[in-house]
Amino acid sequence: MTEKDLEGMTIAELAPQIRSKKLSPVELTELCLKRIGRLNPLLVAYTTVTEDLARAQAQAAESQIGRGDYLGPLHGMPISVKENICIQGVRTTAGSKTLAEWVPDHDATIVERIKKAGAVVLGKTNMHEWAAGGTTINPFYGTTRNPWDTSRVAAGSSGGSGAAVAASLCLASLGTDNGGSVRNPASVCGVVGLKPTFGRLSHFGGVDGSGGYSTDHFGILSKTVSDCSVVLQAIAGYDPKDPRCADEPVPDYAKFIGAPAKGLKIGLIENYFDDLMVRDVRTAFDRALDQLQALGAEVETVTIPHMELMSPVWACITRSENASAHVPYLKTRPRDYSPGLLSQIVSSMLIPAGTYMTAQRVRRLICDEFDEALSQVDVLLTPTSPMAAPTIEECKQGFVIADGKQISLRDTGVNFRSMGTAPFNVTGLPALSVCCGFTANGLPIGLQIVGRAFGEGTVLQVANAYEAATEWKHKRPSLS
Amino acid sequence: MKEAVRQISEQYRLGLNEEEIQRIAQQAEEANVLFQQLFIDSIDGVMPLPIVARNR
Repeated sequence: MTEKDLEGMTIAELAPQIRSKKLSPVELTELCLKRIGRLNPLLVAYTTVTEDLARAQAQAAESQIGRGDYLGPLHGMPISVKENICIQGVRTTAGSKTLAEWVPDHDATIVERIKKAGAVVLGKTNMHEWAAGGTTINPFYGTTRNPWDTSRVAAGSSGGSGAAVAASLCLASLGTDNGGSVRNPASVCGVVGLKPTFGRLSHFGGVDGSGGYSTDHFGILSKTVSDCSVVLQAIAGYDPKDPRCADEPVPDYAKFIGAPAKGLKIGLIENYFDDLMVRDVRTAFDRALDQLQALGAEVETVTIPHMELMSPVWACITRSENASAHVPYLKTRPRDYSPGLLSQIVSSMLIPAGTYMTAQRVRRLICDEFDEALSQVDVLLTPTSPMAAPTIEECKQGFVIADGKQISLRDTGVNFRSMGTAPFNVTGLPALSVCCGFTANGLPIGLQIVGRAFGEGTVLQVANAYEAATEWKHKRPSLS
Repeated sequence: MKEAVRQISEQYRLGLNEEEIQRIAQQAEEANVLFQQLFIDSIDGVMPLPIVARNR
């Protein structure tokens, strides 16, 4: 197998080869490590490459499979993990200077589960400082670059994960999503990104302070929807170590892969997303809607009366919760924060308790409105990011010009880039981004599919049906 | 608001200078303006959402 072969391959395609011993996990892992060695200096997708761990795991997988003890489709599969998810014995910084030397003595539950499924852990992926932004321009560990155009960002905060999957520096990645941090990198890097329902995955082993206690989620980035379902199957389910984790049965997600979209009802949220999309995104979104209708899905409009309050609800809740987690570090190492983040955290400490509680009450109204809408339709369809990846320079200057308008990339509430994704951190509903086309200058665009609580299966079904009917999943960035 | 920032700075020994205090106070004021939108009549009688949102 060559690097070129690897670019086109998915977990679903590689797993049968590993199972039948046509492909060695050691060979696959060495190929990924070689590719990381060649491309990571350019992309800065990884902050730590766990070569020794990966080689040991690959060797163990090969021996186990050789003995006839095949564990399933993740066995021998190289995976990466975001910097704010604990791996025992591996530095876990959350993209911060504060935790630059911290080495956890435990695995996050989702890491424990991918290890149990036989996956090979390649390393830690770069992220925005403390996950508090959407560019992965990190002052301490470097700027992750978008594999489709290296003058552009890979979004964030799981930018390293998005770039690593898009550039075939791993087969899938585990990330976190507090306002769109899995789905936006997936969108601008042309890969699949899933934020499951709040409580579907254990959050044990996530670094406190890199998201709100009730808004942050673990998630998955992968090349295809089918691969995403394989990883979700391995990591979903109750964990008594996380009080937020739900004791809900985990379905067989493979049953949703290949199931038709015909007859499913798709909801469009009235008066929210129309003004958010730049022209290229609008065109791709409309085409995706046409495609799903051609597959037999029915489209309806739904109303969320308090949708306009989403931005203050999200900002108030996530900032209040997140600030409380930073108190120990503020007391001991305040100057380890970049100046902008220190300001944001301290200003968040001034949000009155009454305002926080009011936001939680409005949140209930909004959640009830979404539950009502989702009693009428099976899924909701929205754009993921309202625009394709901005350049690194545009992010630094704080605005972009699109369709003749200046759009701020800084905001008091939800950043413009997260207007499509943050609503589902407030509601906790499952949401997946899948590539739905490219801009005129070749940048990926994402389509977001949102389901009912614990309805990841239907989300995967619609996304897979759409993906199978289009050619986008076959496109890869040119990184020769 | 500047006084509140100054108090936090002293309480946590952040050592913020006047320029930082000014900037943070301004950010907090801008956020408070945004959050005023939350005080709407239709939440009368609505209970806050507990943290385990989807197990409620």
